[in-house]
Parts: sequence; C-alpha cells; structure tokens
Amino acid sequence: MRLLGSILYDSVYHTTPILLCVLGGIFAYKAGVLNIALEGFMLSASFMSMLVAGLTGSVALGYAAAFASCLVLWLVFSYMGVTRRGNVIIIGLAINMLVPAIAGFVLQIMGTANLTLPWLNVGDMKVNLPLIRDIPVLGNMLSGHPVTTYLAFLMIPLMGVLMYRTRLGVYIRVVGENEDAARSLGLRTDRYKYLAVLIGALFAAFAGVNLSMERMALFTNNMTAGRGFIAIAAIYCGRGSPAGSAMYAIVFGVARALAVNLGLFAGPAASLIDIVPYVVMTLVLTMVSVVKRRNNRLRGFVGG
Amino acid sequence: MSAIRTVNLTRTFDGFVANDRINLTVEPREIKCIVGENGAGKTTLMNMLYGVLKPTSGQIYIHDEPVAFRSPLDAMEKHIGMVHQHFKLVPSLTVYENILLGVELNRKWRGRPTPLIDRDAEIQTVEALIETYHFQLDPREKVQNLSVGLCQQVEILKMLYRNVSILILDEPTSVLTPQEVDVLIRKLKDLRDAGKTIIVITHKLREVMALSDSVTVIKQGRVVGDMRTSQTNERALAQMMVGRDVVLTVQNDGCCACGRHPAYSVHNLTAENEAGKQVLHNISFDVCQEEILGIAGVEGNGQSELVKALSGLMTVTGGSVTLGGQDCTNDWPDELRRKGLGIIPEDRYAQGLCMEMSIADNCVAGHCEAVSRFGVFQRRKVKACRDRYLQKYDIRVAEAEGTVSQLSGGNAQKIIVARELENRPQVILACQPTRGVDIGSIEFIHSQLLQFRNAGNAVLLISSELSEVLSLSDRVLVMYNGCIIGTVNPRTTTAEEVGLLMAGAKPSSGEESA
Repeated sequence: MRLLGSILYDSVYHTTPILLCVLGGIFAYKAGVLNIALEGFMLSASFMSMLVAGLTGSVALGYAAAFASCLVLWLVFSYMGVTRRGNVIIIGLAINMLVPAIAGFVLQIMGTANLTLPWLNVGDMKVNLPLIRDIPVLGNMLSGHPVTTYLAFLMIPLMGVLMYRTRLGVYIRVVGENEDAARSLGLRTDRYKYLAVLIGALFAAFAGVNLSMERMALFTNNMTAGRGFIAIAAIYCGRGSPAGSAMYAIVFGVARALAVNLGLFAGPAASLIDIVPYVVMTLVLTMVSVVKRRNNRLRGFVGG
Repeated sequence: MSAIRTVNLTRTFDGFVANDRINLTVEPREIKCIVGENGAGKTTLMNMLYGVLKPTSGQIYIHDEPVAFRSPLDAMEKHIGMVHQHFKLVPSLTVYENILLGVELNRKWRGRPTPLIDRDAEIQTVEALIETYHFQLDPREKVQNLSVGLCQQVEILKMLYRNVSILILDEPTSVLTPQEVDVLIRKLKDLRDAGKTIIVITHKLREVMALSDSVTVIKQGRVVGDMRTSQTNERALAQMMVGRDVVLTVQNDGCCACGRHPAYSVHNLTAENEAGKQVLHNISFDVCQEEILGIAGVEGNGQSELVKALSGLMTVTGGSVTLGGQDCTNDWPDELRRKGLGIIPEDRYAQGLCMEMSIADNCVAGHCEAVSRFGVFQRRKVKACRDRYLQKYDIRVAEAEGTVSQLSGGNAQKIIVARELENRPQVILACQPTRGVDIGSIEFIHSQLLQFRNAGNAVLLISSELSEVLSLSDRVLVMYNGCIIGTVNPRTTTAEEVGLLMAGAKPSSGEESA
C-alpha cells in the first residue's frame, strides 16, 4: 500500500516537468518550428534559478532569473530559426549542448559539483490541499505538490482553448499548415512563430524551476536527463493536440515513477531499472509510427 | 476613369526583363482576360498589381490614384483581391474558418470583445455571404473534404467577404471540369453585373472568348495586343501569343488498331492510400500496339495514384499489370524500365529530373549501364549521349555543362522525353507531358508521341488537359473517384459528354466501361 501510494504520488511528481514542456512545446510544433531545445531551455532555468537564488538569497529573484534566461534563449532560437531561416534542429541541438557547457563551466569556477540552498525548506513550497488530503490513496497522490504542479494540470484544458478557440491558436496552426495562406491574408507569419516558441520557452522555464528549486533545492548538471526529448516524443505521439500530447506526457511520467520506486527493491540492478522510461518512450514512439505508417504503400521517401 | 491603369510598368530579375514597359488599362465593371504563354510574364504582372512584387520602374494607378503597394495587405486595402492558381486554403480548417481567417469575429461579453472566437456568429455570417452570392457550400465542412471546384468558390468568397471591387483570378479553370468552367463563367459574369471588376489570367482561348469583355495579349514580357473580345477570334489570339501561325489541333491521322496486340494490360488494379482508403477500384484496360490510350479526369480522382502504381512508386493491393506478356505488378522502376516501359512522370522536377545535377547526368539517369564500364561512368559516352539528345530534340541550353535548374520548363521536359524515347521502350507512360510547357515544345512533344505510336508502340497518356487527351488519343477513358467511369471515342465525342463523365455522371447509353 505504501508502495502504491508512493508510485501514484511520484507519477504526478514526475509528470509535471514533462507535461509543462509538452504544453508549451505543442505550439512550436503546430507552427512548424519544432523546438528540440526544450531540454536546454529547461536546464538553463534550473541552473539560473538556483544560481541567482543562491547568490541573492531570494526565491523570487531565482524565478525571475529562470525566466530571463529562457527569454534570452528564446530570442536566440527564434532569431536564428525564424528571422534568419536557419535549420531549427541544428540551432536546437546547439542550445542543448551550450547550456550544460556553460553550467558546467560556472560550477567549475565555483569549485562545486552542485548547487544547494541550505536555507530553503522544500516542504514550504508544497501545498497541502485541505479536505482532499484526507481521502485515502487519492489524497496522498493529489496533495502535497508545489503550486506549479497544479498549474501544469490546469493548463491542459486552458491550452486546448488557446489553441482551438482563439485567434492566436488558429493563426499558429495556420502558419504551420499553410504559411502561404496566412501570408496572402496579411498575417505576419514570423510573429506567430516567435509567439509559438515563446509559449514553449515560458513553460520550459516553469519546468526547469520545478525540477531544481521547487522539488529539491538542488542543481546538478544535466539533471534534466532527457526530459525535454521525452516531451518531444509525447508531442509527436499526440500530434500536437493538447489533450493527446498531455496523455503521453502522463504515460512517461508514470513510467519514471515506476522506475524510481521499483529501483528501491532492485538492489544492484537499480540502475538497470532506470532505463524503464526510455524503453517505454522508444516502444511508444515505435508503436505510434507503426500505426501511422501501417497503410503507407508509397515506396522510398515520396512525399516525406 | 479606369479601375486599374499601369504606365510603363517594368520588372526585372537579375537582368532578365520579365515585364517590359507594360501599359494596361482595365475599365471598371468589365472582365479583362490577360493571355500569354507560360513564362510570358502574366503572373509577374499580377503579382505587382497585388503587391507581392515591387515594380522595378513604372507606376500603377488604382481608380486614377497612384499607388505603391508594399504587401498584399496594401492591395487589399484598395479592395483588390486575388484567387491564386494554387489555392491558399488551410485544409484542416472549415469553410467558415478559412473565409474569416484573419478577420475572425470574437465573442462579446457585456458589450466588450473577449479573446474567444464566436463560432456561431462566424457560421451565420458566412451563411449569409453564401446566400448573397448564390453559392452552394456548407460553411461547416472542412476544406480537405471539398472538391477543387468548391475550394475555388471558398477562395472567391474569401475575397468577396473582404469587399473587394477588383478580383484577380490566376488560371482559374485549369483544374475544373467543362461544366464547372461554365458555372464559373456564369458566376464571374454575375459578379461583373453586380459591379465588380474582374481580371482573369489564362492561356485557354476558348474561355477567353466565352468570358471576357476585353483581352490583352502578353508575349515575352511585352503587351503585343489589346482589344475588345468581340473584335478578335481564337486563331488571331493564338497567333499573337506565339508570334507565328499555330496548329490549334494536332495532326492525328488516327490509325486506331485496338484489339490487335495488347502491349500493356492492367487488370483489376486496386490500391489504398495511407489512411487505408481505397483510391483505385478495379482499374482494367489494355493499351494496344499502335495506340494512344488517353485517361481524362479532374485532378485528384485517382490519376496520381494510378501513375504511382504503374511507375513503381507505390505498391498495389490487388490486380496485375502485364507488359509485353511479362508480369510487372509491383516492380520497381528499374525493373519496369528493363522490361520496356518509358516513364514521363507527373512532376518533372520531383520525379523526372535532378535539378542540381548536370544536363548530361540527367540525360543518362535510370539508363546508366550503357554509358558505364565496371560501374564507373565514362564521361565521354555520357557527354556524347547528351549532345545527341540536345541536337535531335532541339533542346536549347545556354550552357551545355550547366545544370537542369537553368533550363526552362519546356526544355527540361524535352530532356525527359528524349531520355525515355531514346531507350527504345515498347510502352510509354506519359503523365501530364506538357504541363507548364511553352506552345512550341507542346507541339514538339505531341509530334514525338504520335511518331512513337506510328512506329508500332503503345502510349498511355494521362493528362488533366482535356484538349490534349482528346486530340492525341485513339481511345479515351475517363476516371472519376478512383474508377474508370466510361470510355469515349475522341473523334466523335463532345466536351459535354466527357464533362459529364468527369463530374461522375454515368453515361445513360450504358456504354461499356473498359
């Protein structure tokens, strides 16, 4: 029972950063400028929030630094990829390699392997929901998360509304599907690509802060551990729809929760269990693309 | 007062003069046709009028007021709208969403607009618009489910909603059935009578005569004729367009030898698309020696899939294909070529040529054995092959060592025709062989195909250009919705009969389908 409760709680806990990346990333995906740099955005937010909070002693400034760093990366990515028409995959890859390099460099100078905030009690960040926390099993699972977690889940329907019921969402989808149509009506297509990437950057900043400061008040380099790529897998599997992609994010979150909890019993094989989320991701991606391509009878690479 | 007037409008691209001192006048409330060959500069002119391109020099006047458009937005502000040849629609959105794209109606809350889009109000608005102009459309339908003709109506409505007074249409009839063309012509005349000024770019002279009030002919970037439609005729216009007398009908002394020896047989062919939907239904036909079999139909009725299946780009789910007695169902293209099939593909740049490779390499593509030894090209033989084709097929190149991307559409297409014919196939699969090609090259390619047939070979001609299919073929099949819906004799049929078949109406006489 303890185990089940902890798996359920961890599922929500581990879903949060992936879900945030997914909900932000779907817009760039729909706009045709898929942002594979979510990983780098997230890591820079994790790092900067801890660094600035550690130096200034202010959690609020930590948040501000996380967002500022993501905005800088957003400008770099959008300027290169949208305005200068660079290859977004290459630019994303560059950002993903650049961020841990800078973080590693700073850590080296500071002469430490990780950043901690001894004065910050992580428990204070958690919200205990009255009433709900008294429900057996479910209460344990739903209560006691940071505010960001609740926001992330609330964002699923909100992003659905934003994508399908507002001008911004419609224009972002149109830009990705038929840019010429948008341009012929005078829509500034580049502006919508910038905005689409911006939504992803803001969500990735939340995800990064959640990962380092809110959960553990700890930063170690490369602590994002491929979550940005798992988010991209979820976006692909859900074809960019908020509900569908969020569902895959939850699947990957559950897989990680299982890996963490079962790893406790695995003894020396614990590190082997760590691969579960990645195996799940590979299997899900394979299955989804097999289903997608099942009826494809075109030979070679015709029509992409 | 004129609706549009241009004075010495000139546009150059890297020294190449696409439009040379064009003086054009369009009267209000008239239908003006602008005709010219491919590459004559019609589209460049329209793009300047619509703000897509900036003129190099010269001036545009709209209602006698000088304008300098920076983008289509500026043109739209002056109530100019354009329906492009390739529609600017978003397939996954509905009709109403497409029409109101960019000018969405927002839901109101206590008299103030909210960020949410008001779907009900949008649908009502579009329904009213459809009603006003007597179109037949369901605003809730997704555009991806509409026929090409209806997509065009959506485009026109999109412009009408924006209250345009000058409507420009670029090659509006190229994808329509003859009946749909008639509907369009009627609609455009109604719009003119309702006070709109309409400019139509086309190269189909029959439609110019039926539609327009006045016509301007453009050749090599210059205006070479400007007259009332009532004072000219098709032949005179064709002569002006090309600069010499043209044979409007192909010399085809038919020698229909059907039933002699089937050179190429397709039996009960079926195929499915990616979504698992059946796109070819039991297609069967024989192409005989010394025969050109034409396949007509509105684009998107399975011709593309048929071509892909026959040329080895797509596997079929059932049926068989036989070439000269050998089974070649689901063969790869190289096997098909070895068995004697020549392929002139649908899209010459996607499937027929490699634009960034040299002309010589393209001349031997797919037929490399003859010019290589131990798997290594012999440059001398490759170049000899190229020079032979260039000379025999009158392919005009500025630089023989250059790449295919430097050639005009007509000359590029001739390279494919040369390559496929010179490798002595028994059957040629000719798909859209003259799409986007100048009149001189069209005549040349047509005569080559006829010559090939007269030498005892078979041709399967698939084209959406109805006049081409009817004038070249000895027998014509009409495709509709993945089926062969009927067979007609091109010598005796009428445009109405074929048009009905293309629109899916079964022949009443119960003519046997092949």
